[in-house]
Amino acid sequence: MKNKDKIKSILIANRGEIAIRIAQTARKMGITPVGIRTVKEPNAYYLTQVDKVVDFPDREKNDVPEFLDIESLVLLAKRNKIDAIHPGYGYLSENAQFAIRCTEEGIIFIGPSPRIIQNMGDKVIAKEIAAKGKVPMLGGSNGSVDTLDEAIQISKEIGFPLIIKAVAGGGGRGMRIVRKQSEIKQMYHSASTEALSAFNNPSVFIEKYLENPKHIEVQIVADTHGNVIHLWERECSVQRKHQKLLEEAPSPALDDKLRKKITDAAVSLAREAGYVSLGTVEFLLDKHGDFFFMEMNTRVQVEHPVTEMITGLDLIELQIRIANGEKLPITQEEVKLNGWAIECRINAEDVQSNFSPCTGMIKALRLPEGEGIRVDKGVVVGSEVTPFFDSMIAKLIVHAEDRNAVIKRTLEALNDFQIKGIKTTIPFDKAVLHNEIFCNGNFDTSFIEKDMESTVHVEKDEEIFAALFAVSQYGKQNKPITEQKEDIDLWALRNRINNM
Amino acid sequence: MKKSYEQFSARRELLDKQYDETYVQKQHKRGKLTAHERILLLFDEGTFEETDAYIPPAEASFGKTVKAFGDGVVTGFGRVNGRLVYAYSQDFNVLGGSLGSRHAAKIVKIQDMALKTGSPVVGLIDSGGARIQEGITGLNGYGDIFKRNVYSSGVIPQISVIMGPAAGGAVYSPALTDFIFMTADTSYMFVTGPNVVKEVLNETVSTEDLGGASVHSTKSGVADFVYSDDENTILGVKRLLSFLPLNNMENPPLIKSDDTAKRVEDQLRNIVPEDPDKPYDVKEIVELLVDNGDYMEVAENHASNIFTAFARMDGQVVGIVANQPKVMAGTLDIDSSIKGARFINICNSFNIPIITLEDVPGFLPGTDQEHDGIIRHGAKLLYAYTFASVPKITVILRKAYGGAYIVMNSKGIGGDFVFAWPTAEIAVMGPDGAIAILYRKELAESEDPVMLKKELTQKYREEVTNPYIADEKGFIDEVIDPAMTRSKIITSLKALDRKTEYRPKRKHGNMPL
Amino acid sequence: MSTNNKTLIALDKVSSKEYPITISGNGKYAFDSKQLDASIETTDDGFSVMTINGISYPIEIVSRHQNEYELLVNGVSYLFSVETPFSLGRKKMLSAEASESTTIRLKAPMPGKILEVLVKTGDSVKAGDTLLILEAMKMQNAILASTKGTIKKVLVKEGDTTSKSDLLIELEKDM
Repeated sequence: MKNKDKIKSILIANRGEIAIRIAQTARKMGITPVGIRTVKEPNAYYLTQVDKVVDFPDREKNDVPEFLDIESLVLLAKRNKIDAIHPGYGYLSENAQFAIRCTEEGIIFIGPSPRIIQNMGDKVIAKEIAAKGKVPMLGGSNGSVDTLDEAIQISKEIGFPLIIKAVAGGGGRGMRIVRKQSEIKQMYHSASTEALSAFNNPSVFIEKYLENPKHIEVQIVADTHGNVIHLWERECSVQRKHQKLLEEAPSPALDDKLRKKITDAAVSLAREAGYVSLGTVEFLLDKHGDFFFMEMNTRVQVEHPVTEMITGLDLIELQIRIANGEKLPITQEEVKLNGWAIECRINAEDVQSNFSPCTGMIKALRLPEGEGIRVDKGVVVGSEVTPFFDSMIAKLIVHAEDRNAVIKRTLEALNDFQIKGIKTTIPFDKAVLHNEIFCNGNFDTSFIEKDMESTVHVEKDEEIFAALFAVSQYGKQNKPITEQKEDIDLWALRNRINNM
Repeated sequence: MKKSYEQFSARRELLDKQYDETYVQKQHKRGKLTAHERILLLFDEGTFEETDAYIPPAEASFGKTVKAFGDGVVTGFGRVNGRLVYAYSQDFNVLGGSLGSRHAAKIVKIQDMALKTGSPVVGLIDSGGARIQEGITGLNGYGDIFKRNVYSSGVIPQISVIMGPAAGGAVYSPALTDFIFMTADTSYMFVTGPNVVKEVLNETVSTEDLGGASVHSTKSGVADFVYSDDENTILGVKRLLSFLPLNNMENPPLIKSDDTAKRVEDQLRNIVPEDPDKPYDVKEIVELLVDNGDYMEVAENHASNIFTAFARMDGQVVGIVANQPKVMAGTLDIDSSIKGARFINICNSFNIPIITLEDVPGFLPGTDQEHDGIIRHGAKLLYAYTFASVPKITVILRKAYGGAYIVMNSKGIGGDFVFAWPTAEIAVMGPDGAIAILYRKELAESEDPVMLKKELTQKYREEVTNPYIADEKGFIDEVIDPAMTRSKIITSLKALDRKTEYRPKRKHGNMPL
Repeated sequence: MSTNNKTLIALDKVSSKEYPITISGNGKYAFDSKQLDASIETTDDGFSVMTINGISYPIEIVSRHQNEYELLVNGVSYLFSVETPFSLGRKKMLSAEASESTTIRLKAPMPGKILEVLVKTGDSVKAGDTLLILEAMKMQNAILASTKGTIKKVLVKEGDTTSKSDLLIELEKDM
């Protein structure tokens, strides 16, 4: 029904490393990647990595961030006769309205249909679908909780701890854990305000909160021809305030039996949802090996490269082909699980002062190289890290034959990964990979607060290096001055005297 | 031993006894070094010669006459990095460092000798104020000191270092000198203390909040430098002296470093954002321009929208004046105009070339500024720049708009060399303002005013603000590659080395005060 | 000239740990009576590497101000001040005095925008109460009361943008 080469150009409605990642695959497929220049970073690195750059249109009001402005983006695609829009992750990637507007204007939205986005984005409907698919779930509110009184009522039914989440949420924003009755008022309001500012929708719902679970997610790929397969799981339990920091595939917590159960559940849910495109089913796994449906993400994930490393597949390519109406090129049986992969997010953050965002210019950059090492980066030397955007500037992905080998290789790669000008999470990543509990796989989402003595890895005698460096700098600064000249010629002196 | 020597030694012993361990500990317990310890830190080892060490206090006209040596101040001279410097150091341990007539006479002697020999004076201040016991005789001593402060002004560098209290009349000697240092937490300066403030205004304020180092280095701008303790304060004084000549006839010391004059800095092309509304830190640029990235900032935390610092370029001392886009977009206001003017005056007095790095959107608008006299105060900066006869070099980094552009050492007021980076925008006003005035009607009638405004802005930038127009008219000497700025400035400094420029003879100019 | 030894103390401002470093007359360093042979090199791609007794780590100066240095060693940040025995003694004396002070000055931990101010002058708060919300990089950060006390002064209002270390609130500790 659809022409195989329908998509000839893609407008990338995103920035940074994911814009570059999408451009790479597009170019490989013979499709023109088009980047969007914004006034916030007109000289960004990603603009040099696309085949064509278009300027974000002028607007009357600038209150909505560029990559969240549906009408301007649709206008851009139309004006430049671009076939498709890839939203990347974050921003409008899970916005049904955006998908609807694209479809209305005859632009292919690379992602699921608006209906699926809508259903999965509405955490209440998503849970209904999961129930139909017989996927295990935690108790909570049936639908959004619109008043504080309602929230208090539900808390009485399900007890504490509970979690308040944004209906339109994702990525940890608009989420609050409530442990006792007295906290519910403040937490309800702050979740709601944060949801409003992050997703433009203040609605929240409530769920029973599982203490210290593992976070396991299953990658789903489904085409328009009714084929639904999974590409194994990813473990994303290394989190801080619900923000993932380090991910791996496969998960050390699953044996073959549990792996089958959890991937079957994900496929069953996707089928029940009539899912099409790339998607991720997120689960919480408790200590007894019981897992519960959390949510389904209808976009490409930040951590998709670990799946690519163990399966040898290009997920962005699959996503584009599906959007083009093509059949999946592989069957479930053909999906390999080869070795182990880890992804470290390199964020511009000051880990030692509470992971606070760190801005500045990249003054020098050295990247690790070698077999099984991949760096997806959004910056180069001279790039400015500004407070306007997310703090993630690069991802280090490492692949090796097994978990021990990949931990070792990743540590080596992190030692070679050097960035000057800003503080990054590299010392944190090292600390995780050196941690015994992480290495033996018995970690959960409380890992950072409970199991890490220090959030940064300190090398032997490192503080003595710092101390000595400070002392030597001080000595240099206050060195007595021996070589000095104070001569003056007569011409200048005459001038000085005459000017008195 | 001969009898005459016996008396000599006995006197010496008595003096040593005055400065015994309990004397030292008394001051150390306050977190302060003694007057002598401070002096010894300042001078090169073994070079300090003390004067008038045995002078006792004058007779009290009220209360008891105290017996002590030195009358609460240590005076003398020595070498700082090999150069002759005179100094006095008030001794809080002897009569609270209070200023009696002989105390004042000792300081005056030092001031006179320094002026006769063309040498800097460093005053280390730690004093309870005028000695009440001596009545008006002590007080008169301040007048003697002030007079010499003023006579020496612009002839020899005078540096005041507040390392303890300085209250009442005592604050005006520092105020008349070129630079004021303060030691954090243990020094304060005010004309009237917290007790009087409480009595007169019924306002409760602590010593620190009224006149501590943090107040004077931020709000009032009285202190040019603040350091964390006595030792670092004195290291700071020594560092400052290394940028200053001994007097107004000499050049500041030339200290060659291993930094090359022709250093090309590619990074300079990246620091100034293309977006004219985006801030950046001008200090990053300064660091890349000067020898070894090393500079000494003056009044760092006061009126930070203007940056002033001493540094060296190919060994030669320069004074740098830069608009700081990071603070208030680098606009000029009252405080920054005064700060800049004062710094330029000092540079001109002491033969220090002035390098101006310009990125100024204009003067700060508003009723506060207008009512407080931005016209008069802004004129100070204009006057100082125009009057200065030392070499003056300007590099326009980005914005150079309107009156502020003229003020910041433009060609018109006597800039010797004016360079511009390709990012420079030179015009009567920025595009937004200009287009709003010139195309008011068109914009109002337009169907798509946003688009029209964008087109006009683009046109304005191309036809009006770009630096090549100013270049062709000769208002700037050259549009330069930012990476080459250091070598351009150094070459220009060398070309201006023997610059001679006469001003008409006069008693003194009439700077708008 | 071994008698000409001088000791400077590098004070870790975060952990308050002291590292006395001896500098001998010939410019050699020693720590814990062990000699340190140190050198610093700059690589072609713009990094500085410090080598001590054969071990090399990348090192970077983030900022320096008078005798204070913020450094990165292997990307880990250190804040040191260099002290003499006297200045260190003075520091300890002053901090002992300061700890008796009852006013706590809460500063902005990062640059951002004040989204909400939840308290006003005179309010009583307890430890852990949210005083204001600071938004940075689209995340809301709650600034919490560090102790039970009374709000003495609120120096910001909603919509203000703040730099790192800007004073936000003065809190008077309850005795």
